[in-house]
Amino acid sequence: MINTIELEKRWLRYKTKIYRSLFFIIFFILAIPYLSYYLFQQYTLIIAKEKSISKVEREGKPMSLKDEFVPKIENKVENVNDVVLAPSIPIIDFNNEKQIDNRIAEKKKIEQKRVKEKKMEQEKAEKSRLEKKQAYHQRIAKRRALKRKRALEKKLLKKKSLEKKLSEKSLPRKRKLIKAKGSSALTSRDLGVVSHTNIDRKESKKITFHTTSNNYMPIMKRKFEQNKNAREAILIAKAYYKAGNYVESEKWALVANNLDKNSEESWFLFAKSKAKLGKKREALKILISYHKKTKSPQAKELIDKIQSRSI
Amino acid sequence: MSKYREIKNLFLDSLDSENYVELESMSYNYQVLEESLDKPLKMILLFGRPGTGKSMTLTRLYNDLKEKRDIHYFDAPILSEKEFLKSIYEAMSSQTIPQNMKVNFDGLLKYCQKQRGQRDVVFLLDECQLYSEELMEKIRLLSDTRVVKFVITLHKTDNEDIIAKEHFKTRIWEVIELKNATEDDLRVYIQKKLTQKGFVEIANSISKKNISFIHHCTQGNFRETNKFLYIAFNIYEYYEQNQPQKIKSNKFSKKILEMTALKLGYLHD
Repeated sequence: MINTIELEKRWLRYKTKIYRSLFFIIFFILAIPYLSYYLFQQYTLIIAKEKSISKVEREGKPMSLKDEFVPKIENKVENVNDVVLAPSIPIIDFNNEKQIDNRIAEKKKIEQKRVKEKKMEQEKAEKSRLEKKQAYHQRIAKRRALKRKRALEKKLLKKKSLEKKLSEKSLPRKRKLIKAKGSSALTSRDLGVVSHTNIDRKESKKITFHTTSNNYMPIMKRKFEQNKNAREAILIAKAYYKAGNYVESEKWALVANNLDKNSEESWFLFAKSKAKLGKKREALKILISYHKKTKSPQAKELIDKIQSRSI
Repeated sequence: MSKYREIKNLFLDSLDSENYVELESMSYNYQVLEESLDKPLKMILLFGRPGTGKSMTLTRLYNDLKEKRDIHYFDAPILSEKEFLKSIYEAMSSQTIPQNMKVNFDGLLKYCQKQRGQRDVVFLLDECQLYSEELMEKIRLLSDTRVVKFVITLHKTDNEDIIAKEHFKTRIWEVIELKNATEDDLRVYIQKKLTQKGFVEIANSISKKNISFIHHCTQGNFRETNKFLYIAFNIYEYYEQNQPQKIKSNKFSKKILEMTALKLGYLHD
């Protein structure tokens, strides 16, 4: 015999399963159109928004949103009479307030301290940076000074050798010294670097030229031709004057004067050469006119010397 | 006796020729088979899926021709070679062989050859897929004597390779395939079965939908259909005895059909 009751239970289970699946199928079938409609609406909204945004971007000017996108909010004014404000009594806990104030003050103090410390640290850092900078500049200045000193020494050595050569050539038996003013040969700055001491700038510096070569005059003339420098013309004039060739010295002094009217030496050498050639009047005329113009004491001294025939 | 108990018993799987239901497709196959027996064929193959009515056809054929022809029906397969040869000899000679003796195959062949032209014996062998290949070979040799003719049934799925073998292919001259019943066949089958025994009211209560459901479950297999209806009427019988308010005489209950399908495993809860 078949267990019909058990079979009936199984049949009930089977039926519920069938109806459940049927229900789900029907539900989905019904839901699909609603869902698709909702999705379509959402899609159209998004498209519309995108279009409006792109339009704004294209035109480059802001656009106001359409009314359909902005939900309307009705400003409902409630009946004021209906609203009753409840009386409020403020209760302050002073202890609590004090504690809060103290905490705030402590915090402020700590912050101030921190700010001060920071400032101090920054100042220190700045100081050390400046010191380092100064030290660096000093080092560089020292190096430059040393370089200049060496260069000057080299120059002096060269000059000495040139002088030797000149003296040997023009005055083989007599050693003659050429006086050179410190101010004209070296700048005051250069002299300061050389000695590192206070130099009396008024005092003339004597530099001895030793002629070591017989070719001094041609070399100097060649140099003059190359540079057309008044200083070199004066040197040539001096050399001729020392050598006793006053005609040539007069001529070279004039050349130097033509190149540099303010060169005092050219004036003096010209006058002295004239005097040596027996043209004392002319020499005095020249010196007086120069003295009138410049009020040079050296010119006055030379005038006196020519007048007293001490040259 | 309960009405539903009687109906239930109608669908018991029996090979009683009284229960045979004449269907259009079945009657055609039956005619072909009957005509084939008159032809000088050595072997006739009747094959189809289980429950297509092979055994029923053989039973009906045997019952129809047992008076007219020298016909023998082995409804159950005889698997032992000794027993098989003994049965063949006994059927042909109408002699009983003692238990301690056995039939020599060569002797049987000579016996058949001697009777050539005099006799035309038909053997109906059911469930031949269970026979060994050796035995099938011997059946073939016996059929070669042209004295013995075999009608064999095979399950379509099981031993199709035996039929495919060359030596069998050449000898099986007639192949009759029995197919599963269609929905219409099934309706006719059920209704005829019920009306034959006078249950016209019940036969009319079974709707086309009910038949379709039964066919969907059983796939037109007669054996399965019988089983299905047996259980369905069993449930009816229960309700008739315990809850008669749950059954209606004019309409076949779908619930009971579904309960049957659940019971037989066609549906799952």
